[in-house]
Formats: sequence, C-alpha cells, structure tokens
Amino acid sequence: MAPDPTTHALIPPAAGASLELAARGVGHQFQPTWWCLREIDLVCRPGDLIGLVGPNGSGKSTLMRALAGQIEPTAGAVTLNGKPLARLSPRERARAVAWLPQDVRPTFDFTAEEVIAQGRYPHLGAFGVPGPRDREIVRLAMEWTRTLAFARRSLAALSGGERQQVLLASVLAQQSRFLLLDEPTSALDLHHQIDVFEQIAELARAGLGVIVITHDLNLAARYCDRLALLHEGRLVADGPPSEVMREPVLRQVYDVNLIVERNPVVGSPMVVLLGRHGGPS
Amino acid sequence: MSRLSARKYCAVVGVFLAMAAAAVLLAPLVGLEKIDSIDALGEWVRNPSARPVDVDILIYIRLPRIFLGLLAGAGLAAVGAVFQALLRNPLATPYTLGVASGGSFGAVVAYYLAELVPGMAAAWGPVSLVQLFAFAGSLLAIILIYMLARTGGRLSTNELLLAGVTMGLIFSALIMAARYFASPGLLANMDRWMIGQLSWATWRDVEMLAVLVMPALAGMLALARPLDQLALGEELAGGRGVNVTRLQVWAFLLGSLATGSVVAVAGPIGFVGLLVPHAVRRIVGPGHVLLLPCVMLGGGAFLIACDTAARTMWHAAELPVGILTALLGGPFFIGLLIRGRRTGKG
Repeated sequence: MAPDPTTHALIPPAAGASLELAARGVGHQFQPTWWCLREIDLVCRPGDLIGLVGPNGSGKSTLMRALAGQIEPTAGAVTLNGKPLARLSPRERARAVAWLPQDVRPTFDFTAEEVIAQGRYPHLGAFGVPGPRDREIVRLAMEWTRTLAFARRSLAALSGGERQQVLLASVLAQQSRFLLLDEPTSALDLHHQIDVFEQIAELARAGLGVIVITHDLNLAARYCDRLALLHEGRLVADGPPSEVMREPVLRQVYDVNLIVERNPVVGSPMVVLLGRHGGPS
Repeated sequence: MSRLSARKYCAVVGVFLAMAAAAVLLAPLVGLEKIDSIDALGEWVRNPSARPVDVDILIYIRLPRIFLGLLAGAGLAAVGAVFQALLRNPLATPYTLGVASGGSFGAVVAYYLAELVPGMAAAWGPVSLVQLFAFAGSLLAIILIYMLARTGGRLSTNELLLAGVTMGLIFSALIMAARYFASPGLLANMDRWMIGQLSWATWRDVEMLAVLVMPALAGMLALARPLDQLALGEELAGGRGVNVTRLQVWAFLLGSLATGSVVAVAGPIGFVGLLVPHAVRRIVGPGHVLLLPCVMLGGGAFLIACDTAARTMWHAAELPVGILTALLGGPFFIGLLIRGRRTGKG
C-alpha cells in the first residue's frame, strides 16, 4: 500500500541523508546503587519501525525518555545525527523528536482541535501566533487521523480510541522526523489497536523513524521491522522479529512458558502462552 | 487556539476591559458618605482655588481604594489561574495553597522587625519591607508545598490541598504567636490587613502595589502559551519543547511576587483566585492567551464590585471585603470539591 498524499504532506522534508537518532552506551541511574538502564546501543533511522518490548520494569519508558531528551542519561549519550540531544535547545529537540508519553490525562476543557494545534508549539515564533502554514498542518493532521468530526469536542469527553487519535494527531502536528510512542495501544480495543499500528506503519513507510513501546508481542511482530527486547535494563536482543522472538529468550525474559508459532496468514512470529514457568508445556 | 482570530480576541478582551472600566468609573459614585461627584468636580473645575470636600473624598478616599481593588483583584485572580495551570488542579489558588498565609506571616515578621529595629521601617523607593517579607513568605510557602506534594512527578489533588491547608495552619499558628506577643499598637497595625480589606487605602499603597504587581502580571502573560502546554501533563509539554522546570520557576516567582505584594497591602483576601478564573474559563475557554488578560480584568472588576458592596450594604459600618469574598467563595469551593468527586476528576 503506497502512502497517500496527506501522509507525505505531514512528513517533514528530508534534510541530509545520514539522519539518525541513537542511544550510545546509554546507562541510567535514578538511585546511586541501581542501574535501570545499562550499556544500551540502539539506532533508529528514518523509515524504521522499532518495537521496544520487554517485561514491566525492564526500562522501556526510561529509555524512551532518554531518547526524547527528557532525562539525561547517567552514562553514554543520546545523539541526533551524531550531536548529543542535551546540546540542543528544547524547541530544536522537539522539532526533531516527538514523544507521546504513556499516561496523558487532560485537565481543563481543551477541545480536540486546540490540543492538536498545541503540537505546533516548537515551530511557533516569539509571540506564539500560529500562521497559515501551522493551521494547514493541523488540518492535515486531523484529516489523516480522521479527527475532524470531533474537532470541537473536549478531549476529556472523547472515547479512549478517539482520544488516542487526537494525541497522535498532536504529535504529528509537531512534524518531527522521529516519533516515540509509549504504549499507544494499551487502553484500546482490538480494532483501535490495529488502527494505530497500521497508521504508524504507514508513517514509517513515508519516512518517519518510529519507536513504539508495546506489551503485545504479536502485534509488534506483525507490524514492526525490528524489535528491541529489554530485560533488567539491558538490550538483550535487537533485530527482525523472527530473530528476536525465540522461545528460549522469551521464556527467560518473561519467565513464562510459551511457544513461538507462525501467524498462519502473514507468517510473522506469534507467541502462544502456555502458562507459568514450569507449568504444563 | 487556531480558530481564534485577532478580531475575536480583541472583542473578548474588549468586553472585559469595558467591565473593568465600568467598575472603576461607577464604583466611586457610591458610598456611605453621600457625595455628588459630578457636581463637585464641575464646581472644582470652575473654581480651582477652593476644592470642595466632596472632591477630596473622591480623590483621596474612594479612588485609591478602587485602584487598589483593581490591582489586587487582577493580581489574585491571575495567580489563581496560573497556579491552576501549573499544578493541573482547578482548586489551586493562592489562598487554598497557603501561599497567602505565607505572605501574611512574612508581613507580620516585617511589622515586628520594623518595631524592633527603628531603621528597618524604611522603604526603598516605593517598595517597603512589609512587601519584601510578604513576597519571601509567599515564595517559601509555595516552594514547601510543591516539594511536599510532588510525588513521582505528579501532584495529587489530595496531597496538594492537604499540604496547602497544613501550610496555612502552620503559618496561622505562627501569626497567632506573633499576635500574642505583640504590643497593642503593633497588634492594631497587624489586624488592619489580617482580615483582608481595602479601606485606609492611599495613593501610596496603590503605587507600592503597582510597581510589583504590574511586572508580575506582564510576566504571567508571557507564560500563556507554555502554560497551555501543561494541560496534558508535564511530560507531553516537555516533549513539545517546553522547558518545564524553567516555566515552573518563573510561574512560582511571579505568583509569589503578585500574592505577596497584594497581601502586604490589602491582606489575605480569599477566593478571588478561585471564583474569577473558574467563571472566566467558562466564558472564554481554557486557552491562557485569552484567559489570562480576561481573568486579570475580570478579577479587578470583581474585587471592586465586592468592595463596593461591602462598604455600602451595611449602613452602620463598612464590611471588610475579605469577609464578603470568603462568604461567596467558601460554598463555591465546596461545590467544586463535590463536583470533582462525582465526575472522578480533579
């Protein structure tokens, strides 16, 4: 499926061929005695769709915060085209990397459209007045996410699926080359989960570098071209889903009994849970 | 915000400006002392050498009080709106967070110092010792509350309000202790503003308040766009390029400056920072670019109206405006708490 013209209009113009967002030897400590990330090397380039997976507490969200430039890693660095993120101004960084955190709770009654328009923040000038170009991007983002229908409704009044589309539109309006999504499907039903993954796959095909955190290994394997598996703060596997999703690795990392099958239709690896570790197999 | 045209923006702000202007122009015409302002002014213009006493009442008693109300109301309402955005909590106000109590305590300390050390009573330009200490007290209170209520990067309503109430109680206890040991003269001085009132206002008070509140208000207006970004959380705001820490520092500084300087002159007038932002947000929406100027103008008009009511509704005596705003705001606050519980928000 070829990306439609709206998708292309939303993608920032490519500048330079060697774009990359990279974690180089990243380690992080919140407390002095415990490393929650250790020696992580991960490179994301335009067009990549990377599924960041691993058990709860394995460091996925912390790694994503570091990649978004929201925490400065204790060791190593996150670089954008070789330059440390920490040396960029917050706005410069936001124009290159967009981040949708996991738990976004609205306060006050901002409408869907206002929330999406707020995504233009890093592009606005000194007085923060949106121009015609900004309004056009916002309209495109709404069109692409099919959120125009509830533009005037309060974000707080929308359903989970609608709200997630509005938030996706707001980070798209940011027009960054790299898109970091922290569990964008965790509160969604099957239909909306597929919707979101189809959308981010299309964005990656159109030239965005996307990293998405998810607990659904099967969805990640179906849509991502790479999986990065974290375990106790270490990157234990990074490669195509068929390489990462191996029974011994997954059994050890998740501490459950499982087998890996093939999706009968598309052939992607598929986890079948059998029970607790040591249970029936 | 994208749909907000310049014309609509000016129209909405214009309506609030007209409201504030109407309050400033109409409020001096009423009062316990019956004066005919228009006639008196006309008489004075015709014969400048003999100024009628009615004009004196107008210029030296009513007008300063009205401008003090305008500035104090604008300041308190704007601080309420800014704190609500910053703490993502519709119940945050300078009063409920104990920031006003902190400011009062600072002012009490300054009154003490002024009595103990004769040279300390001096003022630097229009800025007085009481104002500086009130500012410091407000700042101390907001820093303590922020540190107490901040758990894992998120502020819960319960913690925030409990921290604020506790802070208010501690500062009140300290103020009581100060009152207990104060001399009668000092006590009278303190009590003058402890209730929160605008009477005895002089042009000097207006000047003192203006030099601190006007810059604070201007600074808050400059924070409007980043404050909008906080509505969906500090994390998302940070990802969009807002320097959240710097925003918080500025907002706390400006908020404490405005609260402290109002408290120093007018005392802790409660609930303006709660009532006005809520009412105005209902009318103009939550976007701070429009909300903040409207809240400032509306807050000024509201406090003038309350003060005018407070000084005219009783024939025997003038009621301090702080009593009236508290009587209006208290039930409103409880209503918001109940509504927040019912909808599971806040």
